[in-house]
Amino acid sequence: MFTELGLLTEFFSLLAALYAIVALVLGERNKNEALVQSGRNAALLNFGLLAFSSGMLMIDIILQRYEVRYVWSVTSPDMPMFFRLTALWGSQAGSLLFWSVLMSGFSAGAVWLNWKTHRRLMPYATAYMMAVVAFFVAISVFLENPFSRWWYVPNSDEDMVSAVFRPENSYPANDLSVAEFLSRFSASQQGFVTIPLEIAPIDAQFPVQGVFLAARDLNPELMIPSSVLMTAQALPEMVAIGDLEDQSTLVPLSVLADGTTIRASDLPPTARLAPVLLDPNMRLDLVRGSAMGLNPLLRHFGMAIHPPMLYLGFVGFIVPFAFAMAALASGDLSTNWIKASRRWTLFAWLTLGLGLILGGRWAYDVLGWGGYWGWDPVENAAFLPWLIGTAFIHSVMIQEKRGMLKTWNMFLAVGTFSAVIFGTFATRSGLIESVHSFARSGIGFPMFAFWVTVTAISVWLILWRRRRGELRDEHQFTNLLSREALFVLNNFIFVALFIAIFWGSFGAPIVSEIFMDTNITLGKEYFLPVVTPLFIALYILMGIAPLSAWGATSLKRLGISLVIPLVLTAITMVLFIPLSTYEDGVLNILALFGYGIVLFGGWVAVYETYRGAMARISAHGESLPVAFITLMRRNPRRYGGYMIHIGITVIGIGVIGSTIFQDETTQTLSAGESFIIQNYEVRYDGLEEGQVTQDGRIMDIANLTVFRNGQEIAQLRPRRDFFPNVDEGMNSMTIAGSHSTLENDFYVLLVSWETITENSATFKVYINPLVNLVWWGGLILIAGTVFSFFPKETLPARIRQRAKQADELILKGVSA
Amino acid sequence: MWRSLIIIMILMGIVGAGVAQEATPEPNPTRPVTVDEVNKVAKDMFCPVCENIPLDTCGTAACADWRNEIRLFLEQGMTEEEIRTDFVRRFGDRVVGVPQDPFLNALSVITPWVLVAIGLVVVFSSFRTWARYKAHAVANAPETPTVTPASKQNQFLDQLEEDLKG
Amino acid sequence: MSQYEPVDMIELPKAKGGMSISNIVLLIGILAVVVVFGIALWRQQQAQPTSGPAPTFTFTTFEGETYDLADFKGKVVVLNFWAGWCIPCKDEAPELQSTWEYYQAQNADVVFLGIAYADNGPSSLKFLGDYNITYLNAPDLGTRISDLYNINGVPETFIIDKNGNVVEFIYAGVTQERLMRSVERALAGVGGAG
Repeated sequence: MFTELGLLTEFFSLLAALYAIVALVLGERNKNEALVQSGRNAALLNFGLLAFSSGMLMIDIILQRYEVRYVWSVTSPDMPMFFRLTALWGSQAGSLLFWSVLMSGFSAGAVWLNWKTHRRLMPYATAYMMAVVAFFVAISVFLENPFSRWWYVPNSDEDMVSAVFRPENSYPANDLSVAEFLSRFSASQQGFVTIPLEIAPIDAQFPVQGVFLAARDLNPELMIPSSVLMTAQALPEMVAIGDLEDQSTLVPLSVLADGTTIRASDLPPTARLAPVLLDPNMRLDLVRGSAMGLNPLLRHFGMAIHPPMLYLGFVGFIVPFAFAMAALASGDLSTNWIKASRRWTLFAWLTLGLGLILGGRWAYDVLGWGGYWGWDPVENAAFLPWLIGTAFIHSVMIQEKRGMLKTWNMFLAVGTFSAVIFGTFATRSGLIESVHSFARSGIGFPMFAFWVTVTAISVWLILWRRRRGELRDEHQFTNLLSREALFVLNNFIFVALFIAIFWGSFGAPIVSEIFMDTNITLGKEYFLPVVTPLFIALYILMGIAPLSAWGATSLKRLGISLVIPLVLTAITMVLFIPLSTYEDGVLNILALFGYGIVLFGGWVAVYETYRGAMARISAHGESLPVAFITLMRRNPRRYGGYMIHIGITVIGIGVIGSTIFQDETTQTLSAGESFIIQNYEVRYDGLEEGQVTQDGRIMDIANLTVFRNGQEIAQLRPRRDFFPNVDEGMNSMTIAGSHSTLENDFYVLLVSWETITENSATFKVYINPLVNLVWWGGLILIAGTVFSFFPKETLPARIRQRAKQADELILKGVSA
Repeated sequence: MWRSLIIIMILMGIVGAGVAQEATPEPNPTRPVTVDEVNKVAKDMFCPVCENIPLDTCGTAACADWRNEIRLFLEQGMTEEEIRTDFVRRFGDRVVGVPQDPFLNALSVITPWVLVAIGLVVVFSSFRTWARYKAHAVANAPETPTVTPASKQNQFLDQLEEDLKG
Repeated sequence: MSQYEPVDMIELPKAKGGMSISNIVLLIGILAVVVVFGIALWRQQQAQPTSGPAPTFTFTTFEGETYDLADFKGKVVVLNFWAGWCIPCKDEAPELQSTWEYYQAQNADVVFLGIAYADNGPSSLKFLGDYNITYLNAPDLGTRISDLYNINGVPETFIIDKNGNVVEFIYAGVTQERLMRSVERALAGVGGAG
């Protein structure tokens, strides 16, 4: 019921999107207002239908409808509700639907908020957004349908088929009788029967004569005679029945005497029974018991927020893209498209940044390698749109202020979204493999074609308008030290970072594979030397650009305004000397200068804000907090931006500290023993084995006591989680125990342990200096971005004029 | 808020200064190779069969085998570079962070810089073109002073107000 | 508005007329990226060959003898990819060895070739020793052979007929019974063709 409704609404949402495109474009071209309105409503309806459809999938997940293949593949009966909810985006099919609904949500939001204010752009913008939504919904409906169900097909090559509609001669896999189940086997009783994988995944190819069922597929209340139970010696927890080929490898389950019965729910879930001996009318559920459950790595709180944030960021860039395209299509090439999409861009930028930070946090907490960024292609694929998006956010300011770089901004809007589609394509098609990527699937070519089409159409439109001379700049660059020139440099560096990271993650490995037949991986040895100088340049620009003026800045004037931030930087650098020193007393000069450059960018932001507040104090006699607040409220965008700069500085400090000064050691200890790293002492107190939790994971927890300079500072419990029902390779998870302070993280992993011959365990300890500043910087960045959303507080012109005069008077007085 | 930042920084400085110094152990040829030494080599290599997972943090049995091999090599007195070369010979350039093959190495490392250099040339030539047009415009158009500072003192305020206007 | 007067609008050069060099460079750049990624995607979607000429390669066995796959023309080749760390490989190793012994005793035109994928250190030799493997075995240096056959993992087995064509690809581990069926078919298929 819910499945059918979800399927139907998803399909209708596709029709609505297609109708919206046609109606909006035709309506706008023929000036048919009714048609445009109808297209607009179709776009809103599209969101409603998609939201309803994903709601249906959610209900299927909550109600544990395992006949739905997606539900079966991402949840299992023992999963707690919280992770059940996050399973909506736990795998390809669901996350595509989720992605579509978010995208449609952005589109509906833009229609809702911008229709009246940007009437000329909206029909085309909406049509563009609907085109993108339609593509993703089409992929979801036709290639990765989340509502596809399991069907049991007797007398076919495969026993279980997942299909949207019921195949011929099939039975619903969650509800069929024993007789229907057996109908498959009548012809092949003499030969070897391979146990259907979904029914008996434990030793699927164990040669058995006859058929058997897993106990978990039965009604749990069923009473089963012990005569139908047997167990395999090789797998003593398993009970099997039937005429097994090699009797010597099988023994009856000894605890059961002949003639007794046992409740199905009391059997091990992998126990086997001969359905021939069961009531032929008994109903079977062949899917519930074999449901796979969410990939354990995704069962983490960070995973509940990280993907939605990342997706919000990704899909959010559709709005500036659509507005840019609408501007090109409609010919309204003023800054309207930028004004209309400014907040949407900021929101997308914020959520993408948040998604990246949370992804780093998730990796740090769950992947167990002591770091948060591994230059993995999937991480980089998410970072690439952020880089172009950041360039875009800066660059549009030039267009708004000076009417310059119109073509360039178009390219950036297109580039950001193209990077989003590329990242989606690269991580979802199996083009690159990584811990984060989705499994290989058939959506590769459609995604690729879509990426090429979107990019080609956009570039063609830009070049066409440019050739017509409609993207001409209103000002020219006059001075290399003008703010616009510095912003161009900033853009250049962001693009250079984009190119360097794109090349390292995708370009070089793919070129080398295609032309040299060699697989290569570029790791930190490539990325660090390339991106470090670029980031240094970026931090320097972050320091200089806010001090420059639009139009032109004299070198002298720039020099004067640099004095105080530079002095502040020099002072703080002295404080950073201890942080730039290894424990053997060697000073890392480069790290110290790194801190200095990063700090400089932050100090300028602080100083500029301070200078603004001071000007207000002298002009209006306001107290510092009042002046500060008024200033910020007068131009939230500017001071929010400075706050973001401060956040970036804090992140930079954290990155330098945790990258250059990370210390690690691996030690094996017997219970009661301890070892020393730096001035820490770690004592192993013992192991708590086999702690079973509600969601079925088995935890082995080590107890450690950490001392610093002889003082106990923490009790840590690093652990290893084991998921018995999950496929090998992803069935365990190493959760660090960590003692976090602003100074560092004392991060311990439980690598292995031995409790039989000797009571010992191996630990890997990382000391990650300043790593928490990465997260704190992230919070500042979020606060700054949220702040810059606030509308500008506008004062009546008369008051503004008076205030300005007062400012001037007082400033003259002060400086005299 | 920047004051608290300073306080935090000062605190960090003080705490950082307190970090004790630890003597490095004397190299001892008969000493068995420690896990740390193995991981130091493995850290800069990738697991040959699982893409993009560093060998020191990879948790599979195969990786444990390879780390054990590194330990054996170290015990035989091979240097880190020799071990890397041996792994590359056997598993290809994918096991190291930057390919050892000279051509691939150059291709990987130099390309971004070439692109950056081209970009820089484009940016600066654009600046020059703009400057030339500016000169041209100034010569032909009536003088339009770009900055009109009433006085040096209120330049900052003018600029601030200008910016605040948005 | 700004206090700065706009500098006169000046037509940028090449704003009109034919394609400018920068546009051409841009389009060529985009085209190059598209082509490269298209090829990469196409290659990535390539599956293991199940028919047609078997990709040839040279290899040096663990004993140090060098062969080319083409050397075995006229013989059926069982090409098995394995690794010492792979559990199913351990299950099928005795099956492969006993099948090989069967054909060796018959003096049949059958060659068994094991390729150790991404594993050729002491553990590979130990593996060969543990299961008393006597057929040809070679390390896959630089994983070039595995790349040629687009393998997804180990174990994977290819049956190559006397003409050097792949006739069967077996995804999972093999049993002697299964393997013999395949080899017999490959032997018979060529016999029928002359």
